[in-house]
Amino acid sequence: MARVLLEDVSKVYPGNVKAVDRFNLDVADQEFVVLVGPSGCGKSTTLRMVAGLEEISEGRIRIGDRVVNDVPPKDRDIAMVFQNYALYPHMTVFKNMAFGLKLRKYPKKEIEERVQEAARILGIGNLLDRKPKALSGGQRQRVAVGRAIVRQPKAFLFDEPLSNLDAKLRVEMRGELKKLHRKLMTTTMYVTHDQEEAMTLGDRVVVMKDGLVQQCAPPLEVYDYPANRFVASFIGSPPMNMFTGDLLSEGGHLYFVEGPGNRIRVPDRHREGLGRYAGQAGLVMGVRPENVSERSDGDFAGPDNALNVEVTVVEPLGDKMDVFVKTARHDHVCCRVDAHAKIEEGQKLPMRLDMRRVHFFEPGETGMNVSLNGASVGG
Amino acid sequence: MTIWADMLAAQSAGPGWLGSLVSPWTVLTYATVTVVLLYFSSRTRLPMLYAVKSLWVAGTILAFLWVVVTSMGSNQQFVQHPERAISQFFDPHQRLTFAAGLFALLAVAAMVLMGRILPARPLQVRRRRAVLSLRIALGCVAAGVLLVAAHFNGYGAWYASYATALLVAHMGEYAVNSALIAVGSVLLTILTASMAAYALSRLTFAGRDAILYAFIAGLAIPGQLILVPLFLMLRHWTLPAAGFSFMDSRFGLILIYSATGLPFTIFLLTGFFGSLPSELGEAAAIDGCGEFATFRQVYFPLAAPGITTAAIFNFLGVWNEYNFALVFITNPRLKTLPVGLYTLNVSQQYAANWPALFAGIVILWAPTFLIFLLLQRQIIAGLTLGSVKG
Repeated sequence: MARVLLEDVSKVYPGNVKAVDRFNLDVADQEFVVLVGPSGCGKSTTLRMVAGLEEISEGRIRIGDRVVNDVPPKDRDIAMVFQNYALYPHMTVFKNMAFGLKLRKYPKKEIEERVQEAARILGIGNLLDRKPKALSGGQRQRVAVGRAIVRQPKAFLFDEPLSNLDAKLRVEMRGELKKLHRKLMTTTMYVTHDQEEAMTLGDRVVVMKDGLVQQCAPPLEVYDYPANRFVASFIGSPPMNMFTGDLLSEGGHLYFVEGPGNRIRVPDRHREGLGRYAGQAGLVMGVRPENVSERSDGDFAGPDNALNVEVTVVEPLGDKMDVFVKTARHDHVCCRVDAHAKIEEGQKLPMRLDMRRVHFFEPGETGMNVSLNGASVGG
Repeated sequence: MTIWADMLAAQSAGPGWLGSLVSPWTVLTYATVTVVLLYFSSRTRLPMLYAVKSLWVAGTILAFLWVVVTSMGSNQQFVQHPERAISQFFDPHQRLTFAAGLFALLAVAAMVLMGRILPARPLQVRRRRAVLSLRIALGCVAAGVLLVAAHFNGYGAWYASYATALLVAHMGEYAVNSALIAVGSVLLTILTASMAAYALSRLTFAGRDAILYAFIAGLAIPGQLILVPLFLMLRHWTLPAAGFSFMDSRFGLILIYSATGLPFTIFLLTGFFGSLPSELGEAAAIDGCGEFATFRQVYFPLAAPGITTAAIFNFLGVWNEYNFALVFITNPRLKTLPVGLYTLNVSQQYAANWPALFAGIVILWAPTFLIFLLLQRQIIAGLTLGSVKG
């Protein structure tokens, strides 16, 4: 077990394509860090540089107290789990798991013990004599994890390990991976494109885009205080609603004008941070679906927090209800309301926002969250 | 058989109008026209194709049967009635062999029908294997019955010709030479080609493509073309002190065969290694393998089907190779089977012992036949190897 430290790590492919751009991350001992982002964001490349499967173009990577830039993968004392499991098809489950130990010349007895122990933890003790071909997807995944844990390495690297499983099994394995980490407390780096996986598993979540780190924080912080518009819309499902509009200053208050007749009063605590954008067009307001409601009490009490909308689609989910509405300027706004709310398709009504949880972003795809300045949003 | 011969004789005597209607050549014309007509009806096309294929197969099998049965007979018998080795199985007067012929026909029909009758859906692979081995067994039984019947029908002491071929004509020695050379060159080819193919398909290094293309270009060079340069080259490459020369040496021939086998083998295996997932190598690297261990412990075992195919093709090529063996081996004790067979033929020019020659053919052909019988699936798989990815 060890700390993993990435200092200004970059990956440049031939043709001057920057896959990873000055990546900094300090994974503490025993920490579980998840790298998340859309495909092509450089998260896998980063992981593969830590593993030693890709050369590091610039910067330094330390595992424990050793700089591993020029250390081959086999000497880095890490274990990796691949998306397609990468089990050796010609070996039995036992041999697959024992392979790494055998190469390191462990005594036979210890190999046997370690494999049995790992198989017991993962519940695959009865499969040890089978070949990977005779296993289901979930079982193969367990074997791949088993192969990683028998080695008792300094760090685990997971490269989208669950994306080949069906939805139900994915949730189940996710829970087991978390339990496994609680039990073994091995430093872990985990790559996924699934924000839900990132939220549930990570002690910390690193959101990446185009080779750049967008935000690195614990899951709830990333959710509640997204650093920019990209993080805000990437984390959370259904994604955050984004409204483009203008900021006006009137009577000592700031107003966000979404469209004709839709004026939202910006909470006073943002005045300092947002003041310099007054009179400017193209500011973006972000509200999560669960922070929009047809009610006007409690968190949704006014003043000036209503958007006049027309309901287009109602999707009851059982415990909640997703209501899709449109305003004059924005066609696709999702509101997650109470399952028994009396809302019908075609209905016109005011929808109110929970102003404590509304974010304002600078224009552009990765526009900064300007409402973080000075005051905390969540209260 | 005699009917056809009579007709041919009658024709040469001058055909009557009836004779010309049923002469072999007109019958052949009728058959061709029938086949063409049947081909254009979608309903008759498939049965017709099967019939033509069956005729083709029957012709091939009969030719082999003729060689084997003749090799068991006496020279005098052969000179007088060369066709009898086959015709006895279709002649009702020869009861024993006729019965055997009938049985063999039934067995072949059963072989053909077997795959159609047994349902193949559940346990597909296992049942397909069962059907295949049953077919092979039936074929062997049919052939055995034919040979035994021929033996008791006057083709006695079948081993006499084999004894002559093996001992007097040295086919035994030649067989040992052939086996040593074939096995040696196949091992050498596979060893070097698999490593080269692994490097060419899985590693990145400067000049990789150039090397690969050089090997592929080697495919286009015919062996006959390099015969003379190779001869001149190897004649000078000797170690007189150690008494070693590439000429007239089994080792020299092994080297030549391996070198000429490399382009094809590397081409085949590069495609095969390339089709294996790269994550396995990465997993192995993390598990603690160096590059060579990754090759030996992970990719080489996984490439077994491709390597088997390459080995079979190389073996067949080397086993039947004639030109190089003729040019580079002059010592009679070091000759290979194909060259030996030719020597046997030439040496008998004026007192031909045909059954002994045929016995030599059977000796040359038997290992090839065995390989086809046992490794049919790999050979067929090898024909389509690399054509479909994944």
